[in-house]
Formats: sequence, structure tokens, C-alpha cells
Amino acid sequence: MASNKKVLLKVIILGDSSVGKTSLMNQYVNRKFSNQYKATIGADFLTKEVTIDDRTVTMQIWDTAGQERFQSLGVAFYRGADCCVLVFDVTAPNTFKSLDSWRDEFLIQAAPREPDNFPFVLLGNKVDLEPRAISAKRAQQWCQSKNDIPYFETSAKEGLNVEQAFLAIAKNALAQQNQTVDLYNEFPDQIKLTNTQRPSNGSDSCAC
Amino acid sequence: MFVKPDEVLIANTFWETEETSLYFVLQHRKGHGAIKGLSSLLVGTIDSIFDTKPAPYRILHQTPNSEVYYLVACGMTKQEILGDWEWLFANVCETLHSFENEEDITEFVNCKIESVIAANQESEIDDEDSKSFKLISDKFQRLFGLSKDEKLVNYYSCSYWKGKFPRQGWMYMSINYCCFYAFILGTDTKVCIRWSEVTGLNAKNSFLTPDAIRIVTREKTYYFSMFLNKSETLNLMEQLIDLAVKRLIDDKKSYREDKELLNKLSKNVPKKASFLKRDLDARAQSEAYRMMFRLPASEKLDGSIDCTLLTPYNRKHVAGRLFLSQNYICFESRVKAQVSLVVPLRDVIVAEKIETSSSNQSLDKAVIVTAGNTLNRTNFIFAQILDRDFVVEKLSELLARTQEMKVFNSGNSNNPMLDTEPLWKPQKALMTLFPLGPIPEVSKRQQQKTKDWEEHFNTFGRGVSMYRTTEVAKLVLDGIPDHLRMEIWMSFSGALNVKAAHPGYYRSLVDRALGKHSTANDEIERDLHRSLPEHPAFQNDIGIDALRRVLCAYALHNPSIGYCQAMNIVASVLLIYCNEEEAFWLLVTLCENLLPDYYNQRVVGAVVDQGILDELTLEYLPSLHDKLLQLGMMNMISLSWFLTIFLCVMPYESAVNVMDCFFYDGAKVIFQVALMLLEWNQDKLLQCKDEGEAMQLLSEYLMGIFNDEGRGAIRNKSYDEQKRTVSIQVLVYEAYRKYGFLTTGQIERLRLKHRLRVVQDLEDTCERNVLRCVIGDGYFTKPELQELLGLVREEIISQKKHIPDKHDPTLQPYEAYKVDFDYFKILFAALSPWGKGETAEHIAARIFHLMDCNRDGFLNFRELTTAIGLTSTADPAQRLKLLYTIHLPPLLNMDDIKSPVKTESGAEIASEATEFFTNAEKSLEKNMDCLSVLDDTSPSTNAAGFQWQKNFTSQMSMDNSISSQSSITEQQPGSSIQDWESKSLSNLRNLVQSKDSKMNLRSVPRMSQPHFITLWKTVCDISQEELKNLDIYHAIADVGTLLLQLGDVGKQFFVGRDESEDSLVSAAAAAAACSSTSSAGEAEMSDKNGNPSTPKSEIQWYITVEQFLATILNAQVLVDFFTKRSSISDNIKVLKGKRINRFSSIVEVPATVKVKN
Ligand SMILES: Nc1nc2c(ncn2[C@@H]2O[C@H](COP(=O)(O)OP(=O)(O)OP(=O)(O)O)[C@@H](O)[C@H]2O)c(=O)[nH]1
Ligand SMILES: [Mg+2]
Repeated sequence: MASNKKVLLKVIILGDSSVGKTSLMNQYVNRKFSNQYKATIGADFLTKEVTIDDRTVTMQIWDTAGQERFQSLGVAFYRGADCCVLVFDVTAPNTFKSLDSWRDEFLIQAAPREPDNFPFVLLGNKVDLEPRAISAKRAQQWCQSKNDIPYFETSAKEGLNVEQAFLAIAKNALAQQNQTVDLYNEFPDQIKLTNTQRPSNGSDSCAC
Repeated sequence: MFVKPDEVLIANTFWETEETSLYFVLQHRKGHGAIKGLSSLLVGTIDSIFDTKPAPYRILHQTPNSEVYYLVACGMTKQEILGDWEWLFANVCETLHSFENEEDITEFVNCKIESVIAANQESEIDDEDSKSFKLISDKFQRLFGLSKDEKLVNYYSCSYWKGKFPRQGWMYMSINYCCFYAFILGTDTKVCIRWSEVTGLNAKNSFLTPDAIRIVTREKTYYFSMFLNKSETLNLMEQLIDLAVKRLIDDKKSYREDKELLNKLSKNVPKKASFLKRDLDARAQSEAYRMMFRLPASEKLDGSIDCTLLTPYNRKHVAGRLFLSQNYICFESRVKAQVSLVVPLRDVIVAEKIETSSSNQSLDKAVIVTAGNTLNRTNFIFAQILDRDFVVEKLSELLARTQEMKVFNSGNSNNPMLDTEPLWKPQKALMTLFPLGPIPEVSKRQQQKTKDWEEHFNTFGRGVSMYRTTEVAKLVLDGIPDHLRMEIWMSFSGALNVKAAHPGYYRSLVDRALGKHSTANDEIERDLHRSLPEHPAFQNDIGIDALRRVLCAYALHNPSIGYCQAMNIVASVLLIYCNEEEAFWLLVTLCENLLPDYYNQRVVGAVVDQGILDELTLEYLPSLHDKLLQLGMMNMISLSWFLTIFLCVMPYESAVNVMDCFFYDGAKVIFQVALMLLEWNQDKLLQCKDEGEAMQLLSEYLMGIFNDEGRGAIRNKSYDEQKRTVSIQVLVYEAYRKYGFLTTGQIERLRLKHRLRVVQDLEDTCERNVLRCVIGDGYFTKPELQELLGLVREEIISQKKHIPDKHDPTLQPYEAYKVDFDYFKILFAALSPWGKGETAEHIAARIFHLMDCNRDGFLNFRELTTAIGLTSTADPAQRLKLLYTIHLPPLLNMDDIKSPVKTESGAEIASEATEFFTNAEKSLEKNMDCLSVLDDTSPSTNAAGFQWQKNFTSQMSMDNSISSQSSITEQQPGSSIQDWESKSLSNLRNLVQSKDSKMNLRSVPRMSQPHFITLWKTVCDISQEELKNLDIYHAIADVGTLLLQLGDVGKQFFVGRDESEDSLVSAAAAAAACSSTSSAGEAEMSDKNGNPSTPKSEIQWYITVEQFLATILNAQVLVDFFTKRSSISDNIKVLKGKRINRFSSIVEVPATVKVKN
């Protein structure tokens, strides 16, 4: 693929309520932490442009609601995802236990062609907090058992490891897309880009 | 049963006399019973078409010289009628001889019978349905094999289209079923549909079946037509389906008869239809009434009557209708939206007639209702009430009751307040504590609005009993001024009424809820700071604490909802404008009346409304609908719109204006606003290339909606001027102008339809999840599993047991579908090839025991399929392993063997088995010594059992030692028998289910002789049907003998092996000995050191599972037998065909098995 071609990567963030999905996304996209986010209802969404290996890619990051009762709702947008980010809270053991069910649910709903090779990334968030309930080792073991999912320990609050994690997410997503891209070669340019951050006047963004 | 004596003119046409006495005749109906022939056929047909439905037995009274017969009793069974017959002889006949006059005799009989009936009726209060209806109800239950509880609601004549042919017959509807029966010239057609299985219902016109009603289930589509009153039928169907669906959402909503209604109706309502039908009609009317006037859910409509209302604001008399219920007087004008009125009886001081001078025609037959307190009184004048006396009487009766309640309540709620200093004080509206920076123009505007409202109050009244006209609607549309919001929300939403009905409730809830540990409370805690963080009140403990109290109290108040995200956002906005307790009651009203089921475990209500929005979009914005469909957008955007009433997608100060309309007008407002938003963004949305772009477009548009009349302190920062899109006032106004034609009734109808779809989809998803988990086990194909799951579901529903929450995330999906042993027995007998013999129940019990992992007395669906699969579809080695296993302790203990003769049939089995072995002996001479062994075993059973246990334990510890060295210590003293039992059970279970054999087989315990003999009896029993086949007969005998001999050979091995075992085994043996000393029965077997002292010679017979498998698998006929795959689909059909009565014995279940290879 030529490096000047623009690519859109669709990334879905999943995990229990209040593990920090919204905070992570905003930390990555806007580089700031705020404790003024509402609990996510339905789905939310931000985009960010990144350069990977000289290629400009737009990441479309979908943030979802974490409460159990929303789990299987509004999952239509799982389809076509390039990477799925699973998040748990290292201080809350239950959020780690639910990872399997989030992963399963995603695989069922997104129905990727090769479920075993679909790229997931695991983030253990809130490492700035004490006491920890889930050790890095335990999280890594889980990752190994799931076909070597990459694992990052992050803090949305302190911006720790967030950049690195999302870079890895982007790379994995890109790799996934390259594998399947041949199928879509007829429409390589179908995806138009929006600005990195929320555009200042969104109502114009579609006038193109 | 005796019936009110009634003259019968033709006594003999369709009836045959069975017994006669001087004054009585007992008859049965021709065509009932064994007689077949044209006449009986015809009678049957006539019954079924004309629905004359007489009971098959009756007793007539006649005096010798009279032509007239009186029907005095009828009965469904001969037994019943004979009972009546005998009663007549015992109690009536004697006396009759003393009368001289025949007329007196008849008079006496009739009197006597009537008094008997009256006495009976008093005892059963619910015996309200007319006799003929009862008979039909009985007939319906009999025809469809339903229980006595399954009462008939109503029945209609109609046609059922079977293929291209209509069958004329009767449709019967009960709370759970819709059934059809036709009997025409010897063939009968039966249809039985469970309401909860219905996935679609509509009235449909097609060429073939004009004017038909179509009922769709997952399996089939049914057409019915030729209804006399189609819309009534359809309404009733809808109502019954909705009841069923609501029960699926929440099983606490199951239907209960309203006995109060029964008392009421029995006084002055003609008893045409069944009691249930009247009950259901009354329900529907009450629901409409409550919806119309926003009344609490407990309010039941008492009656309504035409009248006029004097409207003082324009001095007119408005024609309309007066409604009365326990706590309210309501009025609705005939002209829609002209005026409506709600007067709570709690506010009413007096209601009396106005004595009119004849000059004032318009005040003819008037009633004046005075409400308020001594300072502030309001009069409401209703006139032209035809039945005025009745209304006034009713009113004073109701008033007296409310007065009593008032006294009672005020006495109640005062006490606790004085005793102790409360731990918390309810919070005043947060806006009073955290006023936002004043903006001059805004303040002016608010003042102006307040003035408008005050004026309105002056002319139209204030509070709940305001005259509600379009005037107030205009004011609401404009946005309510901040400090009036609480008052107006409370009175229009009806929350005030609920609050008034529950004084002191909120405080007691909070007191109970706060210290409680619950998932809901944890979830609430996590979200407190993520509710309305932009408002200073929620950056402060004052706001946070109030929010916590409201949410925790609600979670306790309604545990089936608990806490759902989005409620936090709604509640915090309520708290800004309302006092704490008011906020709570508004939340209650919102969650339970305005947005039903929105926040429950699967947010069903919100998904239902999503479906409605989708349908409305298709209708009004068709091209956009296609686009949204293509983008898969609808559910993404609308969930947050519905769940938070736009509060989290617009600046809350704007969204709160939508809330104003919402509390005034109900959920339809959300649809109007949503449609307007979509319409305005239609063009841009149509240009969007992916769902992300569309999402962004909409979310920015919504965030830009501004409210210049709000106090708007937040406005200047987070959404600046350039992002402003449209003002909320314009949005609301336009939404009403363009989509104001939507009505609440329309939305409710749509909800009915979509609820059915959504709930059935959820059910499907649940079942798909179950199948996904279970299909991997490989015992059955998908269609087979589906059918089996259908059976289990049917059983669960029909037993009205508590259904485990299907949506409980901590459980595996198949946990929700469980069967107890009684039902397992039935399934096992019907579906498993091992379920046919006389030991079937024992086998079933042991398999059940083996499979029940958590020992809760239920098999979940996965365990069930494994249990049945292992006996009917697994490969022969697996089946044999299971067979072997269920004859090992702890599943089969020595006690069971010692007295296997628990039942009579058990005795037969035992003797049969002995006979079998004896026969075998005759044909095969070398059996001699085996049989003597067989006889020898009984005295030594205890010893063998114990030895077996020891072996087994040692085996177990060897297994454990392979995986972890430390397990031996775990086996040491602490382990009790129970531990041992559950451990060994789970070992056995693993072993049976595992397919890789080699390693596993070696760890399988050896089997002692008595156990083996029982095992072999079982083999004989399950192959009973095949025993006629001589090959099998001989094979069983041969193999059995061979195995017995092998066991003897094992003797020598065992001696050798025992001595050569390493220390592990002896350690384990010691452990086993330890544990066994705790069981008294076996203590005597140990010496004082706790070591087993069993003589070796008695314990050495054993076979291993390898030997067992190898020997049997060598005999081809037996391999064939254990390879046969029985078709459970066929068996399920048979089982379904015969409706299962749970309490019938296992033997009655059809034993037809089709076997295919
Ligand atoms: N100390 C600390 N707190 C964090 C961190 N990330 C998030 N939080 C806090 O955790 C809470 C939840 O964060 P969110 O980002 O809203 O969680 P979420 O996963 O989006 O939750 P839902 O929207 O309910 O699914 C907030 O109060 C955050 O301030 C972190 O890295 N460290
Ligand atoms: Mg979030």
C-alpha cells in the first residue's frame, strides 16, 4: 500500500463501568484528564490522527457504556472494528474477571473473519492507585492464554503509558487491516478524514 | 353438581336413561361414552358447532303424572352424578312420600335444591361464573389437557385455516393459552398456542383468508377468521399477549385475579362473560383511565357518567364525562383537549347536590364539590348528571373512606420524627443553595414568565386540580420558570398523588437503604461523581449526599430495577430543581409510569421505544430511515436520548425544557423531539459516509442546542457562541408543530407491538447463548437441542416456578433452564434408551446425582443434555463408562445393593435377574461357580463396600499425586465422608465426560462383585426389549460370565499388587481408614488402630473398567446395541403429543422408541 493513502482505523474500547475507558480515550485524544466526565450512556466517539511508519492514519475510537445491562445493546458498531481494547481497573478484581465475557461478546457481535487472530489489546488502568488487586503477572498470564494479547499498564489520570498503548493499538489495528485490505481495494479512498480533534464547527464537516 | 331447577321439555332426544326412581331420572348424553354410530357422531358435532355444551350426565326430577321434567343436577363424570344421586336418596326421597300432592313434591324438591345451591355458593366466593360458562371452561380444560387453574377467559366461534381449508369451531382463550377446537364429522382439529410463545399478532387481509387474525409463533403461523366480533377478539388477544410478555420481562408481574372487582361487579353488572374477561376489561379501562389522568398504578376506575363541568374562567358549561375511582374525581371534555380536571379526594371537603331553581336549566341535576382547606376553597360544579343520587351516594362513601385514611396516616407519620434527631435532613432544591450567577436578561425573562404563570393560576386554579386547557400547554411549551418547576412537574406527572399516598415512606426507605451493602449501592457510589459534574452542587458533598440518598432509596424501593446508569443523570437534574423527596417521587413516576421498563435488567423499555422511533422514522422520514439503517445508527443514537431524556446529549439547561413537556405530556414528547432533530439533520446525515461521521454530526448538533432563558452559567464556557445550533424553545415548539399529532394512545399501541418483538428477541438471544454453550458438547444436533430446550422452557413456564434471572450476568446462560428430578425422570424415560426398563427410575436417580454438580437438586440445561446424551448418542465406550460409573460408590452404595428391593418392581427385577443368571447357567454349564459366588456375596457386602471405598480413595490420591504432590496432605484427617463423596463424584463426572481414555481409564476405581452384579442386572434391564433377540441374550449371558471369571482372576493380581504398592497407597489407605471411622456403621471393621481388618479372601474379587470395556466391546451385538443412536426428536414429538401431567407416574409416559442406526 502506498504511504500517502489515508487509512481509517476503527477501535472499540470495552470494559466494566468506571474502569476508566472514557478517561483513557480523552487522555489520549485530548491529552488531559478530567474528573468531570459523566458515566457513558450508549456510545461515544472521538477521532485522532496519528502517523505510523510514515503513514497518516485516522483512529476512530468508540467508547462504550460499561454497565452490565447495556452489554449487548447497540453493538451494531462492533462490526468492522480493526482492534478491540479491553480495559480493567487494577484495583478492582471484578473488572478483571469480566474480561472473558467482554471478549466473547465482542467476538460474537463483531464476528471477525478470524476470531482467533483478531487483535485485542489489554489495558490495566489506574496503576496510580493503591492497593492493587490484580498483579501484572496475573494479567499477563491471561493475555498469554488468549493468544498473546499485548498488555499495558496505564494511568489515565497521570497519562502513564497511554500514548504507548494507543500506538500499539493503532499498529495492531493497521496490521489487521492490511491483512484484509485486499478485499477492499476497489474502494481504497472511500474514507474521508475529519480533523484530529473534534472539529470546531462540526456542522460544516459534512459539506464536502 | 346441583343446578337451579329448570324445566326441560324434551327429556329423551339426545339422552339415554341410566337409572330411574319414582321421582328422579339419571341420564347420560348420547354420543358420550363408548357408543359409536351416526347418532353419536352427530350429537358430538352439534355440540361442538352450536356450543350447547351440556354436561354429559344429568338428573331430572319428574312426578309420575306430570309432563314436565326439571333439571336438578348435572355432572361431568359419572362419579360426580352418582354422588348427587345418592344424596337425593339420602336426603330428599324419604320426605317426598309424606306429601300428598305432586305439586308440593315438586315445590319441595326445587326449594331443597335451591337451598343446597345457595349454601354451596356462599362457601366459594369465586364461584362467580355462570354455570354454563363453567361447563365450557371444564370442557376446554379437558380438551386440551390443561389443569383446573387454567381458567377460561372467553371463547369465540371462528374458523381456523388448516392449509387451504377453513375449519369452523371454537377459539378458547385462557390466561396462558389460545386454543382452537373443531369437531366435524369424526375428525377433530386442535390447536394450542401458548401466549408467551407468540412472536407476532396482526389482523390481516389476504385473498385466501379475508378479515383474518394471524398469530405467529417461532414454529408456525396460524390464521383464524370468521369472527363475529373481530376487534373484541383481537383486543383480548393483545391484552393476553401483553400480560404474557410482561411476565417474561418480570415474573413478579404475573396475573392475579382481582377479588375486589369480583365483589363489586357481582352487585350490579350482568354476568355475561366470564369473570376473568370482566376482570381483564376492567383492567384495560382502569389502565386507560390512569394514563389519561396520570394517576397512581393502584387506582381502579369505579365508573363514569356523562355530565357538564362549569368552567369558571370562561363561565361556560363544558360537556364531557365524569370518572370516579377510590381516590379521584376526574373530568374530561368531550371535545379533545378542551379541558380536563383531576380532583384528589384527599383535598375534597364536601360534595353535595345543588338544589336548583327551575330557572337555571344548565345547573339542573348538579353536584358541587368543594376542595381545599378552610382558608382557600375551590368549588367544582358538575351538572346534568342523570343518575345524580347514585353519584352523590358513591362520592360520600368514597369520601368517608379517604377521611379515615387521612386520620390513620397522620397518626402514623408523626411519631418517629419527634423521638430522635434524624441522621439526615432532606435537601432543599439544590438551585437554592447553589444559585448560578445572575444574568440580567435571564432574570427579567424568568420574572415575566413567573408573572404569566401567576396569572394563569388565578384564572385556572393551582396544583393538581387546575383546569387543564391548552392555555397551560402553551405555558409549558415555553419552558417553566425554575422555581415553579417542582410544583408543576409534581402535579402534572402525577408524582404528587403517589407522594400523598405514601407519607413517611421516603424517609424510612433512606434509613434502610443507606447502610446496606448491595451491588446497586456499589454501582451508585461509582457514579455519584459522574452524574452532573458540571454543576457546582455536585462538586460538593451536599449534592452528592442527596443524590446518593435518592438513588439508594430507589434501588431498595424497586429491586427489579435497582440502579441503572442514566438514572443518576436524571436524578441529579431533578435534585437541582426539586426538594429531595419530590425528586424521589418524580423519579419513581418516571421509571414506573412514564418510561416503563426503561431501566430494568435489559433496558427493555428503551429498546422498545427505539423500535418505535425506528418505525416512526420509516413512516415520516423514509429516505433517512434507509440511511440510518445502512449506517446501523438508530440504536447508537437513540439509547442515550431515551434513557436520559436528552439530558446527557444536550446541555442539561436546554434538555430540561424537554423535561417540562415530558412531565406534562408523557413519553410522546421524546419521539416528537427526536423526529424533529432527525428531520433537521436529514440532509447532512444523508451525506455521511460512515456511522462515526453521523454520530459526530448529531452529537455536536445536540450539544449546540442552547437556552438563553436558563441561568446559563455553564453555557458560556463549554459551548461557546460559534457552536450554537438552535434554541431549545424553537426545537420544542417546532417539534410540537410538526409532530404534535402523535398521541399517547398511539405510542402505547406501538409499545405493545414492539414489546412483543423485543422480548421475544431477548428470549431468542438467551436461547442462542444456551445452545452455543451446549452444542460444543457434541451430544445432540442443533435442532435436537432446540426441541429439548423448548420442552424445558415449557415446563418452567407451566410450573410457574421462579425462573432464575436469564439475564443475570454472573450465571452461565444455561443455568436459567433447569429441571428438577421429577421432570428429569419424565424426560429420561421418554428420551433415553435406558429409560424404558424397570430400573429406569434408579438409573435416572443415579445419573441425576452424578450430573448435579452444584447439588442444588436441579440439572441445568447443559447437565441435562450431558445426562441424556451420554446414554443415547455418545459413543459406546462413553456410554459404557457411564454405565460402569453409576454402579460405583458413592452413586451405588452397599446399602442400595443389600436391599435393592425397594419397590415392588424392584423385586421383580431382582428375581428376574436371578432367573436370567439361572437360565444362563442352564445353557452354559461353566457358570456353576460364578453363581455360587453370587450367592456368597450377601453376608460380606459391608466388607466389600468398605474395601471398595478404600480402593477408591487410594486411587483418588494417586490421581491427585500426579498433578500436585501436596494433595495427599489434603486427604488427611480433616476430610469427612461428605467431602469424599463430593470429590469422588466430581472425579467420576470428569471421567465420564472425558473422551481421551487411556490415562483416565487407569484412574477409574475397580468394581467389587456386588456392584458388578447390580450393574449386570441393569444391563439386562435396559436391553430388555432386545432380549427377544437371542444373539443379544446369549451375548449378555456370555459376557457377564466372562466378567465374573475375570474378577476371580483379578484376585491374584490384587494380592500381588497390594503388597507391591508404594507408600503413597498406604498413606491414602490410612486416610480412608480415618474417614471411615467417623461413620459408625463401619467402625467395627477397623481394629483399634483404625486399620482395616477385613479378611483378604473376601475382598479380592474385582474388575477394572478396562476389563469391562474390552470385554463388552468384543461382543459385536452388544457394541451394536450401545452404538444405536436414538432419535430424540421423534421421542420429543411423542412426549409433546401427550401433554405431560407432572404427577403422573413414570410408567404412563409413552414407551415408543424409534431407534435408528
Ligand atoms: N486514579 C485514577 N482514576 C481514574 C483513572 N482513570 C479513570 N479514573 C476515574 O475513574 C472513574 C471512572 O472513569 P471513566 O473514564 O468515567 O470510566 P468508564 O470506563 O468510562 O465508565 P463507564 O462510562 O461507566 O463505562 C472516574 O472518576 C475517573 O476520574 C486513573 O488512571 N487513575
Ligand atoms: Mg465512560
